[in-house]
Amino acid sequence: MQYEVETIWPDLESGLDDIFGERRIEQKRYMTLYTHVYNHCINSIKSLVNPAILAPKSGRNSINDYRNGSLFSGSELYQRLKNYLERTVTEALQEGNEKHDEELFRFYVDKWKQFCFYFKVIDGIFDCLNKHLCEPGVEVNRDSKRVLFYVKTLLLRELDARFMQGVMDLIRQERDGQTIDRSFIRAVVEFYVDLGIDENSRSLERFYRQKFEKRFLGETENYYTTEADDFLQQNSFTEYMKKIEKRLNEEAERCNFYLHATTLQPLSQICETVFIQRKIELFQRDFGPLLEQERDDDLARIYQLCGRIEQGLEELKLALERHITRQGQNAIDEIAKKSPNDPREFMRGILEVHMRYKGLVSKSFRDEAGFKEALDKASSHFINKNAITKIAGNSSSKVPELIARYCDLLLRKSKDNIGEAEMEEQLQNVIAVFKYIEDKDVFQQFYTKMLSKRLIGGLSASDTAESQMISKLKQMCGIEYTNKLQRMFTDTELSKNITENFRKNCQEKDIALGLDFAIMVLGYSSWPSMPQLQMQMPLKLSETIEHFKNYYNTQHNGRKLSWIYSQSRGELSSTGFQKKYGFQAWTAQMAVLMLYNEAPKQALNLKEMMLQLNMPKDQLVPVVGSLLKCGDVAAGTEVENEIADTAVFALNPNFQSKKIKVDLTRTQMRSEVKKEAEKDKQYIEEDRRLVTEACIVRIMKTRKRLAHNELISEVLQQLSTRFTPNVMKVRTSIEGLMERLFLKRAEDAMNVYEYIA
Amino acid sequence: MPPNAQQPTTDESNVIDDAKTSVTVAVHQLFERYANKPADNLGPDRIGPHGVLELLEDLGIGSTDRKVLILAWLLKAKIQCEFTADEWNDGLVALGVVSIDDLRMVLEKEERILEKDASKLKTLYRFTYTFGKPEHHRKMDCETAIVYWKILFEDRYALLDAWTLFLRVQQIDVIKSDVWNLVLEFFEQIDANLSNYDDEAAWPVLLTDFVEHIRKEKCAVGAA
Repeated sequence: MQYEVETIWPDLESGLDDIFGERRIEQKRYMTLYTHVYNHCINSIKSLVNPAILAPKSGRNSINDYRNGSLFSGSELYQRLKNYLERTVTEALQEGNEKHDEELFRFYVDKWKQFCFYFKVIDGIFDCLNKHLCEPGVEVNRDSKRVLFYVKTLLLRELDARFMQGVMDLIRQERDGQTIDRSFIRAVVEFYVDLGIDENSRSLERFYRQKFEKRFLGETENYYTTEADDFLQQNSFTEYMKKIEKRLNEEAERCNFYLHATTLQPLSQICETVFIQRKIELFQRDFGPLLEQERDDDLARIYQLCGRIEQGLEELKLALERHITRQGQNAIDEIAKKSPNDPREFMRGILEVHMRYKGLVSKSFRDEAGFKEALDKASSHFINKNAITKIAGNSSSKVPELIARYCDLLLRKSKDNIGEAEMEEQLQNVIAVFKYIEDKDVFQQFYTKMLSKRLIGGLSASDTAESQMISKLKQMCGIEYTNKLQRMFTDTELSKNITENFRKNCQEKDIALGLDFAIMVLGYSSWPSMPQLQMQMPLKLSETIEHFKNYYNTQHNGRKLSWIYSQSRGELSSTGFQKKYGFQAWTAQMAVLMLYNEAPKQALNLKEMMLQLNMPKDQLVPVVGSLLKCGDVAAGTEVENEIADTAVFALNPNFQSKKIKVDLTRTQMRSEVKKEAEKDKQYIEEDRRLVTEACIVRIMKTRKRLAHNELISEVLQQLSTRFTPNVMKVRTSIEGLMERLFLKRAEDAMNVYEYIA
Repeated sequence: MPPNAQQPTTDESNVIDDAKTSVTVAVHQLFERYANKPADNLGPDRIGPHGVLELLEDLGIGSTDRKVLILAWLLKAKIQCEFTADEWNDGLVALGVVSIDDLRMVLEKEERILEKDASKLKTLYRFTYTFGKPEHHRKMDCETAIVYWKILFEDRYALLDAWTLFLRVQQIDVIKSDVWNLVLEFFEQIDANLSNYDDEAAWPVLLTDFVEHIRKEKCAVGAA
């Protein structure tokens, strides 16, 4: 038949020869060739559809045959074309057999350009075939590229075989430090990429990635694996890290210059894997010693390098935490040996360690969250459990106490005048440490007491500083924490007004008090409890007190005033000693001393004192004891624990003191201190119990029904801002609440609690 | 047919009524046998301790037998060793018991049921707490609790002795209702070697302490 392959092929073949031979094809010739193909294709279809031409099989089979191309004469034409191309292209490439390296490469590039041109023409001629070869359901235009694709594959096979090794060698040489022709490699890469340029980027995948990039990455891995091992054998770890940095930069630059941009990511990853991931134990091993040696720069290096790997930093964070904890413990061990009770030393020790590592985390670890957390955890560890707490019998109140005392020292009037800026800095430091205290409610208790003493004694260095501290605490812990403190402060301020107004009032009423009088009126609930003292005031004082009572009643009718003589103090001037001493004394001390004004031979026994002062013995004895200590009075007999009522105390005429102003208020009986500590502890326990119960009830009220474990964990979480709760105590509280019918166990589940409304 | 049965009539409800009446009468007669013992001195409508003792003898049950508790439970008795007329009558009628033999059979049957029916056992167990303590008290004292545990559990649980010892050594005075309730669960669920005890579960603190104690002992023994 006219359009059989056999018939048309010779002409087509000669046409192909012409194309490859770079002989021009005229328009007419082109059309002839085109028509050959066209007619051929059309006829194949017709014959397909014409049942007469079909072999005597059922209709269905013919479709199958169509599918697998056996009936499809177009496929034969394609096959011939393919064979021709393969032959011709392979031959053409053979020319390059003698060439090498750059020359060879140029040859290939040239040939490729030629082929591209030829294929355009061929494509056009065989257009119908391209379209025709499409089977229903198969990608359109695939075959037109098939031919092209096939040739590319041929080309690449050649390239690969002769060529790639050379390119890889070049790159290796460059890594070794030699200079190479970079533009050449760049051209190669571009060629590969070009080969793949197509509508679908999958082709980019195929050629560049699979042929070039894959090989390149493989070589890179091998090269650097060897280098890493060799280098480490001969060099220090620091040098190794520097080497890594250098190489990483180099590779990035290399990629930028003559590789495809998309290679950067896998390339970096390979390098990181080889250099860092596989040697991760080294990093972890050396991290500790570097911390010890304080090599901040190297630590920064480790951070940056390990940060490139997933989970690379986890071990380091743990190591840091352990290290800081150890450093903190060591620092406090030292302090504990010499001065375990000194707040200043304690703070100094903590701050030294904390600040140092805060700086490190900032400088070398870029304030990364995980490292900051490590610092926090470590700080919490060594601040709350250390040699000092151990000496104190693992009491959980030692640390809050020390820090509260430090605050007290800071905020008290003292010889060193601290400027505002420095005070602010110190307070910041305190807050930084305060953050880590586990039992913040204990701190609150101590702070409140000490503040109370400062305020009553007028010992604050600066009101601004006091306010600042309170507001910082408020920021940390919320209003509830600082409510009382704030009110104490306010009460103190108000009291100044009250004193002033009272004085004016006395002037107006022409009342002469005969002494300088200042009063503090304190709101009962805000201030810590203070011991009551029962006694008969010296006359002048009791008169003044009466006047004030009257005055205050006119101002605030209905308020009850309780007089706390135990905290009151005053100044006495004396003429009975060698010098005209002025004594700062507690009111009780004053009262005792003033008794001596009338006492015969200036001696009194306890019974007489008790009578005149109307004071019970157990309150009187400590007062007398304090005067003994100061030397104002001398004991007639030995003073033991159980003093007889008849023990005589005489004024000491030989009393001497360097200063004119003598402060008698500094002494306090030891037993009182102990009793106070006991009471404090009880108070804290009780307070915690109430807070825990309130918390449980609050949670259950909202949730109505909650499993045991969830309840426990929520309670622990909510309480942890104030103190570290003990799980057993929480469970006891829950049981207590069950007994009092706030909660009950669920009928269906032993582990679930239900709220009883 | 009970001895005092009247002639049955054709009317069915009458038959039932009669049957009922005859039961009630029989039950009442039984009541009379044990109530109002002069030695008890409790007033007209009660069976007191002596009566109960005689009852138990007739039933052939020892006073520490579980069936005594079961009887009290079935009759919904309020006070130990006492049954009111109402408790007795209502209870026995409901059970369909008219003679001592009937009662004995019922009790034995119930005991067997309780061995298998956990939720019923729980009801009996909880009843025991309310029943076993003085009416106006909120909690049961420890020794009473121990007695009742013995009655209820006999030798079924290996840990019971250790528990009893622990309570005495720790000088625990009272057993709260929550602890009482959970002891049943504890013995039912937890192995004798405490292998499946979950520290995180909501066991009462007293039981937690008990487990701690056992573990420590084991360690000590092991070490020795």
